[in-house]
Amino acid sequence: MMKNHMKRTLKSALLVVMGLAVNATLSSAFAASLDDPVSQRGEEIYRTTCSNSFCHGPGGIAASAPRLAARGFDALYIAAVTANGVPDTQMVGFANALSSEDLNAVLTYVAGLNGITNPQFTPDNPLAGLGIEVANPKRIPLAGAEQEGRELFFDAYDKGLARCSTCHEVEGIGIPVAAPILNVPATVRALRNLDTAAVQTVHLGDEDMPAVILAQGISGTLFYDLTVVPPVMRTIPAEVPLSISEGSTWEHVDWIGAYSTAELEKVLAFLRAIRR
Amino acid sequence: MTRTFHNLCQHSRHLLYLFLLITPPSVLSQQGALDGATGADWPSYGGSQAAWRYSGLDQVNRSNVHQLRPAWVFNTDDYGDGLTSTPIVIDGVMYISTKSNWIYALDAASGEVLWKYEHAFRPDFVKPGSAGAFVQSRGVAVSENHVIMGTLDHALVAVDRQTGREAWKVYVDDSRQCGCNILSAPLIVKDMVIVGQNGGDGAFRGYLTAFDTETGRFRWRFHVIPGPGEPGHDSWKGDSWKYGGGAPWMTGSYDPELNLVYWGTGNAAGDFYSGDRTPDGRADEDGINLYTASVVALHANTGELAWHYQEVPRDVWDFDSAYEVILMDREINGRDRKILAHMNKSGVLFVLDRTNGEYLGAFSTTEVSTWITGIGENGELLGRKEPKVGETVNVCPTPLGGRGWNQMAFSPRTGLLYSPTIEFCTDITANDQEAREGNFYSSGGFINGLPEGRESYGHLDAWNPVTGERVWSVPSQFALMASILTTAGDLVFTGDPEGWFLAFDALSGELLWQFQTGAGHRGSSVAYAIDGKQFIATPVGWQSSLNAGMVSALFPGETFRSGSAMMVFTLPEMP
Repeated sequence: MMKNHMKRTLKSALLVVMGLAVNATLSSAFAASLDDPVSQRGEEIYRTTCSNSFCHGPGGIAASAPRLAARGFDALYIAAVTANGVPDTQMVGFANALSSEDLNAVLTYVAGLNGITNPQFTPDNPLAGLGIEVANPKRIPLAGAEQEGRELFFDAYDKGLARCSTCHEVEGIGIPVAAPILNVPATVRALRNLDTAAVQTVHLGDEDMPAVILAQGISGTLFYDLTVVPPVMRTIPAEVPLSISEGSTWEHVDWIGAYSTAELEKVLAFLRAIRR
Repeated sequence: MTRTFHNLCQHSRHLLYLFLLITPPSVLSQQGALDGATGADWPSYGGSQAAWRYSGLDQVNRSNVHQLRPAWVFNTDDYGDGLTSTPIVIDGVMYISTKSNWIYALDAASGEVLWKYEHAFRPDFVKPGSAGAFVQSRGVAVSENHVIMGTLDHALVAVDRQTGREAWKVYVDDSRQCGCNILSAPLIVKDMVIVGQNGGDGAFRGYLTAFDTETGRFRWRFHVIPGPGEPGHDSWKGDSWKYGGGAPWMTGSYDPELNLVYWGTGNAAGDFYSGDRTPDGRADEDGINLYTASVVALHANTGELAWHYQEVPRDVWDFDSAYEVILMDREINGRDRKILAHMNKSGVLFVLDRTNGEYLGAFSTTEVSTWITGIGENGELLGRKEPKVGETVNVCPTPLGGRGWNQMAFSPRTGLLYSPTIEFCTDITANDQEAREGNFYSSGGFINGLPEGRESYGHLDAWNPVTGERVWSVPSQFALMASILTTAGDLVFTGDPEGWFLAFDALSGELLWQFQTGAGHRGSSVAYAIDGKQFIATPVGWQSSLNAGMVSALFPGETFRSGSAMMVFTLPEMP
């Protein structure tokens, strides 16, 4: 164990010296290990995602974030940090942000920057067998109408604030105003005419407003105000008169009007697919 | 490694920028002119909605500023990356936000804590590979009943002014999707609060949103990039409008008489490569990538565009125009005009008629400038020196700006704008990066260095905005990264990275007073009064992330002291 540790330390020291010697042209020191297609793809991902003037530098040199080249990192360390980030720093985890192919490529590239010429990550699941737990599962690959439904669900451009994810959190994206979607409506008609018993009416002063009540206690009432999109989380102190009644005039169909029937079919296909 | 930049990139700005207007500076403000001065309070981010950063208080003045003494100091206990905010002071209470989105209400006379609010973040709110990892809070806005702050997880939150209890919170967008967040202070306009977002270098479509100050309900949204069917949409190629950036990441201004909101917009993305966003067949520069790198004027009630002026069409230098918009009324060629002064990252200061956006003139504030060779009669950029894919091109100034986001100040007494300028050049290497929603979209990288022959990094200048004349200039060894405050005592205050809080004569630039505060300055000082006693307050605490990486070239070998404190000065009691 001690021997291995010393060996690794010596290797690290050697690589650090190499790194210092070549400094900004580090990548050329490992050119032989970086010219395979996977590493080249990894370099492209690295350049556009990790090295963008604000974080790591080109070719693994230091920038606003630390140097990555010739640090003596081993493959496991590279994979763990890339997957889950470094706590309390601006380095966040990329396990869920990159496809398996791209993650494999960038891991291979950074490994190459550290002199590891054959890191042997599994291309279709580069974290497999490494004992690395990722906080949230990656989006499952979808195609056709299911993938189109996914894009529609989160569509910030054509739908804008009227998109589904303004009120629903799915696959780790969206604002969880509504409870998690446990039962996917069978039809578009059912989706439009959704039973919204959870929406109640808050009476505040002269105003009545549809609301999702989150908490009510001695300090006050916390609820989402559904008067307009996007919903507003409001806290009304206990000393302010407020009452709540069951039911409301609020209807789901009014908030999904930006979607056509065909689009809603695809959204339902997406929601069914991620529950398979 | 020492980088050198060639003299070829230097030239005299006087040869390049032809200002069309010749008129003597007026010494006093005109009768009936827009009044952007503050009094006992400092109610808005820029002081007033006109963004002058000018206090009408003159108890502290050129004759007695040397007597200033510390009145109180407050440490925020939030020391991660300095204190970058502008304090708001109303009715003797100071409101400040810190980098972790805490808000303090302090007794502005003593520094005593009245209440504290800590924003609760959503889990895992930072999108990997996005601009959402930047951590700062540049200030709050205060309405009649609420203190309102944008957050790092892209919410707008309002807390009760009296108690600090949360009143409402609305998620402006999901930071995990857009890769954006809110660092800037919102602006109160009538019964609305208006806010933009950080993300100008991201594959994102920037916007301004207005909410009701009492309820948090949505009022309107203005997209910086026009959508399909809207005028200006054809200034974008294909789907590039979805990822073209333009985030308005600083705080705007408001003219109540015209009922117009003014805001500067961010650069087009990807930053250094425009091939993916330039419509086919558009060889001209005019009006490409609207309304990025522009000043926009919006009807306050609806958010509809009244007019726009694009300062950097088809930007490829990361020259955001997101900085403050200073509103003033000046006499030009014998005619009283409602104008605005606006500087973008290039260091060029534009003067426009704020009623209609008419170009009136422009001048460069940096001494070294190579990104263009000049500005035409109608404000067009001449001789553009553009980054190239796969090649390294040296240009001055840098994407960090001929000035940072730290703001200028305008004094109606002197008729001068006071601005901290950075002298830097950069090697930019562009690439044709593919856009990915919410991710960084810089399309290249850059490395900064001093222009050859220069030893100091910046200067504090006094400019006549009407003539483009630099009236005085004071060199600074390091770039000045704190905002400017000017007062009716004919004083100009700012702080430097080494921790000195400085007071200059507004007329001559003479240094009149300095105080070592113990940590670098990256925030914005203000002036206020309580019971007839004037105070000068400055945030203290260096943004330590500026010591790192590519930005470290600003301050080679220096590690300025961080911290997070509010330091307040006043004159000693008379015996």
